[in-house]
Parts: sequence; C-alpha cells; structure tokens
Amino acid sequence: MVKGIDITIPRQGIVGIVGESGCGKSMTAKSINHILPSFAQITSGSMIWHDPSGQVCDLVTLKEKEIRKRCGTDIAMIFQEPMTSLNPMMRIGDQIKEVLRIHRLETNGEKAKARVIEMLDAVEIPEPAIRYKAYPHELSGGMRQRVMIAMAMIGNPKLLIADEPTTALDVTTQAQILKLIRRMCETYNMSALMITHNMGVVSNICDYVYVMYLGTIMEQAPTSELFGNPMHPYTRGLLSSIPGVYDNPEFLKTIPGNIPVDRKKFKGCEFCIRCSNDIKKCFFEQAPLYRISEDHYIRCHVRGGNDGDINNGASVTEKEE
Amino acid sequence: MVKSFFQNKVAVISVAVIVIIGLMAVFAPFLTPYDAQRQDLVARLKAPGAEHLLGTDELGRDVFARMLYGARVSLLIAVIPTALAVFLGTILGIASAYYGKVADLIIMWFADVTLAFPGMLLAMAIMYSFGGSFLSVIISIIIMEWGSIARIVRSVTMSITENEYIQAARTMGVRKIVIVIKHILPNLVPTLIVLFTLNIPSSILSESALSFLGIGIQPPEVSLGLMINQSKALIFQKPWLALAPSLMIMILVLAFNYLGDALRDILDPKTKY
Amino acid sequence: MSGFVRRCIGVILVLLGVMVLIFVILRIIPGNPAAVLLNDHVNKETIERLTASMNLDKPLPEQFFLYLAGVLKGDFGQSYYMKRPVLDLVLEAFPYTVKLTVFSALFAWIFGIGIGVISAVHHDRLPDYLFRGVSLLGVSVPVFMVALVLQYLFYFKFSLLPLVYDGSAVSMILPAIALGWNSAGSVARLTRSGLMEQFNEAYLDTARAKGLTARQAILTHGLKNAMVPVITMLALQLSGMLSGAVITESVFGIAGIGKLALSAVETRDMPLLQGTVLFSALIISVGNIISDLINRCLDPRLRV
Repeated sequence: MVKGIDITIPRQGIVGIVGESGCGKSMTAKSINHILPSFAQITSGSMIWHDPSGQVCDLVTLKEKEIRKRCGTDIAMIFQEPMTSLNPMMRIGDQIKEVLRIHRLETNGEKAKARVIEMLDAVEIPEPAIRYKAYPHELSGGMRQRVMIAMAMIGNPKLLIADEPTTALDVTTQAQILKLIRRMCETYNMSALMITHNMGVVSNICDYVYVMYLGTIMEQAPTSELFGNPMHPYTRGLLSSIPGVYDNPEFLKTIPGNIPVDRKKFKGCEFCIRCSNDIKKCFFEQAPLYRISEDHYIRCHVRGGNDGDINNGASVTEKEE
Repeated sequence: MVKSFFQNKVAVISVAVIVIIGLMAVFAPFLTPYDAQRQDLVARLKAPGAEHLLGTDELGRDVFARMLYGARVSLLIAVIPTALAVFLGTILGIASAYYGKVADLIIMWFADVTLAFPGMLLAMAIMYSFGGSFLSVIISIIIMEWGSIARIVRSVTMSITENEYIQAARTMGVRKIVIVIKHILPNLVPTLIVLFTLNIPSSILSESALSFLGIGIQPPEVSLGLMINQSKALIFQKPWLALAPSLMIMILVLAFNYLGDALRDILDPKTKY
Repeated sequence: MSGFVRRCIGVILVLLGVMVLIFVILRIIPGNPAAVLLNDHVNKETIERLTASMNLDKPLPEQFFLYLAGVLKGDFGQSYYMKRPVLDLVLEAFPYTVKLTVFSALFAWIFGIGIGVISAVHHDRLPDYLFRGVSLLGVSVPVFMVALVLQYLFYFKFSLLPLVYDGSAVSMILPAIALGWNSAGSVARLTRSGLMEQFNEAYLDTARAKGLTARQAILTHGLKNAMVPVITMLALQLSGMLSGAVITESVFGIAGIGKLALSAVETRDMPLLQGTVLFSALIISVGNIISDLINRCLDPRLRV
C-alpha cells in the first residue's frame, strides 16, 4: 500500500504529509505507533527513533508492550474525528487522566486530576475544572479536539502525530487549533507530523512538506520552497486546485482522472495516468527521487533531470535529531 | 440472493435438517410400523434396540413412532401460530408506523401490555380458560409473539417511509394503501422472513414447555414436550425416554436459530434485533 | 426528568391494560367459577353464597372496578383453594423466585459476558467457533432439558448435588444453572456482537495511542460501550426468566411464584392465578423502569 517513504522529522520541527484521500497518509501515521488495522502490516523498512538521551532504536521491530510504553509518553497522536475518537462513555477528564495512570506518571489521584485540569487550561478550554467532568457529547467539535490535544500533551511527548486534526472542524476553529498545536510544539519542545489533505493547513503550520500520491512520496521540500517553486506535476495540480474566494465554482480546477484501482502489478509512475506529460517511460519505470536543490527532492522523470538517484528504497524512516 | 443462500453452508445445512425432519414427520406412517397410540403392555419399557428403534415407554408405546408424531405437532405449532403472529404483527406494525399518532399510541400500548407479562404466565392464564389444547397453545403463542414483531415492523416501516421516493409518492397524491402495498411491503419482506424464522424456535420452546408442565397439549395427543412430561418419573432409570424427544426439540430449535442467523446475514434487513 | 415521569405514566397505563387483559382472559369462558370450585355435590345455596361473596353475581365491569379498588388497597382477593389472601401467598413465594432469578442471572452474566468477550477477542478463530457453538446451544436447549440433564448428571450419576431445592445454598446451584443457561447464551451472543461492533471505533485507536495494548483497549474502553445493549437486555431477560422460573421451580420443587401459578391452574384457583400473573407483570414493569434508570446512568448520552 505504502512504499518508498523516507521521512525525517527534526526535533521541534513540524513536518507535513499532504495528499488526497486514500493515498496512504493515515496508514503511514498509524504505522509509527503500531495502530494499523488488522489487515495492514509493516512488511519492511525501519523507523529510527533518536531519543534525547542519545539512545537509538527501531520502532518497527519493537514488541507490542514496548511500543505501548512509548505511546503517550514519547509519541502521541490526535485524530481526524474528535467525536468518535473520544470514548463516549467516559468523562473527558478521566480519559486524559488515563494516560498518567497507564504510564504511572502520577499515581496520586488528586495530583493527577490537578495536572489534567492544568493541561485543560493550557489548551485553552474555559472553566477546566467544570469541563473535567464533561462527557464528549457535551462539547463542541473544537473543544473535543482541544481535549484530544490535552490528552496527547499530558504525557509530555517528543513527537505529536496529528492525523487530519482540523478536517472535521469549521474554518475559524481550524486556525485556532493549528495555532494551538504550533504553540504546544514550541512550549513543550516537541516535533509534530501533520497528516493532511489541505494545502492551507500545510502552508499555515509546517516547516517541511512531503507530497504523497498513492503511497509514494512525489515531492518533498521546505514549505516556502514547495509553494514558491512546485516541481512535480501532481504538486502543481494540488496547488492550482485550491479554490480562491473569487473563483467561479463552475470552473474549479481539478486534476483529471481518479485514483486507479488495480495497481498491484504496475511498475510505472503512480501518477502517469493523470499526468499532463504523456511520456512512455513513465508507464514502465518508477522515477527515483531526484534532488532539485539542497533539500528539495522530486520523483519525476520529466522534471527531475539527471541529478542522480538519492533514495529509492522501500523504507519508512522516522528520525528525530 | 439465491446464490448467496446456497453459498452459505450454515443455511443449507439447517434447511436440510429442517426438511428431513419435516418429511419424517409428514411420512411418519411409512417410516414406522408402530402407531403412536397403540399400547403393548407386554413390551413395556424396552431399551432401544432393533425391534423398537428408540425403545418403548411405560405403556409399551414405540418411542420412535411417538417422536415422529410429536415432531408433527411441534412443527405445526412452530409454523401456524408464528405465521399468524407475523401476519398480525405486520399489519399492526405498519398501521402503527403509518396511520397516525392515535393508531400508533393504541397499538403500541396494546403491544406493551402483552409484552409486560412473562409469556409463560400469560399462557397459563389462557390454558386456565380454554383448557389445554392445540388451539389454546396456538392462541397463547400468537399473543406472546405478536407484540415484539409489531414493534420491529413498526421501526423498520418508519425507516422505509423516511425514503424520499415514498415521500415523493405521497406528495404526488398516491393513496396510503397503495404505498403500503407497492413500496413498504416489498421492502419489509427480508425483515419478515428473518422474523418468521427466528420466532419459530421460541414457538417450539413455548409449546414444549407448556406440554412439559402438563397444561399444554393433553393426552392422548402426542407432543414432544408431553413425552418428556410423561417420562419424568422414569428419568433416572430410563433416560432415553426423555432424551429422544428432548434432542428432537433441540435439533429443531438449533436448525431454525442457525437458519435465522444465516438469513439475517444474507438478507441483511435494515435494523438489528 | 420529565422523560422519566412520562415513562412512569406509561408504565401505569400498561399495568392498567395488564389488569384488564388478565381479567378478561380469565372470565372469557362462561360458567360460574364458584360452581366449578365446589363441584356438583354442594347445594345451590352454598354456591350462591360463595358467588355473592366473590362479587361474581355483579356485571363484569363492576367486578373489574371492585377488583381494581381492591388491588389499589393491596387486596388481591382470596384464594379459592388455599382459603388465604392471594397477596400473602404471593409474598411468601416471591423471595424464592427472587433468589432463583438472582442466582441464575449471576450465572448467566458471569458466563455469558466471559464467553462473549473471549469469543470476540479471538473472533473467527477456534475458541470463537467453539464458544459460538456453545452459546447457540445455550439459547436452543429447552429449560426443562437442561434441568433434567443436570439432575441426571449431578444427582443420579455423581451424587454431587441435591435433587431438589431444600433451602440450602448448595441445592440452589442446579436450579440457578438450569434457569440461567438460556440467558447465558443470549448474553454471550450479544456481548460478542456488541464488542465486535466496537472494534472499528476510532476511540480504540486513541486508547492505543495513549499506550494501552489492543487487548486492554478493547477490554476497558470497548467493553464499557458494548455493555449498554447487554444491560438493556436485562429487562427483556427478566420476562424470559420468570417464564423459565415456572419450569425450573416445578422441576426442582421450589415454592416460588411459578409453582404457585402452576398450582393455581391445576386447582382452578382463579383469584390466585390472577394475582400471581398480575404480580409478575408488575415485577417486569418495575424491572423495565430500573433497567431504564441503569441505562441512563451508564450511557451519559441518554441523560438529559
């Protein structure tokens, strides 16, 4: 499903993976803390974790027990749907406190509660002591996402994975949540991996962007570089299909075609069917990642030129340095 | 749909079991030389053997023959009142969902009333008035089952009438009864099939329980529950007397339960119950 | 709270209907119950006296209102056969039925939920197939068969447990299992399907992202959500259990409500039958309200 991804997340950096629905962004995110659905598996690759203490380990090879120890404390995650991602039967305070209990971060019930309320306050939930006792359905979507962030932050993680954190929210709330995530990264010395299909979110918050198409990275560049100088035809398509306020809705730009269904035996470039460059080579051979400038890479025969193959291995690498 | 039925092993096996038992019950006279009623005091309490396949009871009656004739009663009691209860429940359920608030209140109140009784005790009251007989068992099973069927039909009908094409038909002035027959009933069919199949086992169990208590089917009629009742005194010495009809009940109930579950998977009616 | 008040009014209306229905059913056949009761041997005068004392000479609607008035005052009438107030007899029998039902419910819940959870966690593997078979067998076996098999095995074959109920706790084991068997099957089935419905819920991912293992997440967060329909079934099961109690009590000789009702049918004791049936309907209605309240406590979304 997902192949040939090489992602590096620098300490305190916010890295984005962007792509359209169903391209494997969420799978990549869920593979990091091993919460893939049962039909999906990590078959090969590595995820190298550099601990601040200097330790290095490969998250892929970790046993369930060991990865669970890291979840919540080293790696935290927030999800797309803050309604269904919270247990409807539990008070939100208890759900946040559970992180402290699981990892024995605070065994004293009263102190744990105080820490939770403090954290609810930190994510700008008004009247945190009262909201502590609220059930998810009593809160608005934005509030619930703040609860999710509080839950993620309470274990003081080093990496936050945010899987479409703003998709289910309205635009003004989106901006607030993004600002909150940014601020949390700065105050708590944390890196973040943002998974999104929204170019706006990327430009708003990310330092570095990976553009993913059907499980493959097509282009990667620092945010400003990507938006100023998009190289891959898919990236260009994505950027030009962002509707502006004054655009005539009848003429919204789209990328022609849809995601092909059977691609098991296909060896060529994943994007060739929808690409405007109609070149024979693309149908038979997947392009390697070409280096465009210092940290701008692109997987395209046409645009990439001959700067040389950088990486074409089937590996998932998470690095934090 | 027919294809997916035949691909479902559980469904096919349970239908086969039901058909085989059904045929055995129908053709009982050809399968055994013995009559269910004929007493043979010389051959009392014989253990299962070549002459009497499942032995004889304390009056020398052939247990195998009685079991086949008992299965007849059980299957009749399974099918007749269940079908009537589904029929009644469907009419009242649709009426409740589709013919105004007053009808809904009254019908659902009545359903709640019959569901407020433990089925067995209500049946006992009916037995008290009508005496233990085929008819009174059928009446009590209908009263026990129609309420929950009507409730389910009501909720499914409501979800069907939500569909836009039905609302469109209403606005175009199609009469309610036409909508019910042309649009609602066909959509209810999967639900009704599953309801029918899943209510049969409870009918079998109700009949056998009433007869077991001695207030249902009365001798000289034969019924599986009654056979167990009659062999209660000899349960430890001659366990096969009670075991044969018990297993027959169990197999029938299991087969219908499996079939109902399989049909629910195949037909996938909209609501779960 | 107004929802709850409305619910209570609904229950009262239903109970009124219950009274009418049972009243009609028991009097649908013409004939004087007093005459039935006294056989043909006694003289006409005695029959008339008894008829008058039981209000049987009055028109049916009047009889009903006299009965209703009596019930509201706690007077369920006089048993023909035992010559005692029906309420006394019912209240004497009630504790036995409660004991039986509680123990069998405990059995059903412990085994049912346990088997359901194991089945769901190992779904579509050997333990699941095995336990699904067992639970379908559980719902398919008639209560009296379970009772007789238990008696045969534990009393006759291995002499481990007493044959009938003698007041001791040990002698309650077999009746409780016999009555709880069916419910255990349906609890197991519902637990399994309810739990499996939770498998794809997003909050389980959240729980795992917090650091719970998949199994821990299912058993704490998932089970909490899956239990709501299982608890809702409590009320439905109460009705089935009282039905089953008739059989269990008769097999094991427990002097509970079911046995009382059965003997009322056998001795054609109309007031006693009327009283026991009415009383059991009352129990079920109260049980419905209680399960409603429990549900409201369990599922915060239902609270208004």
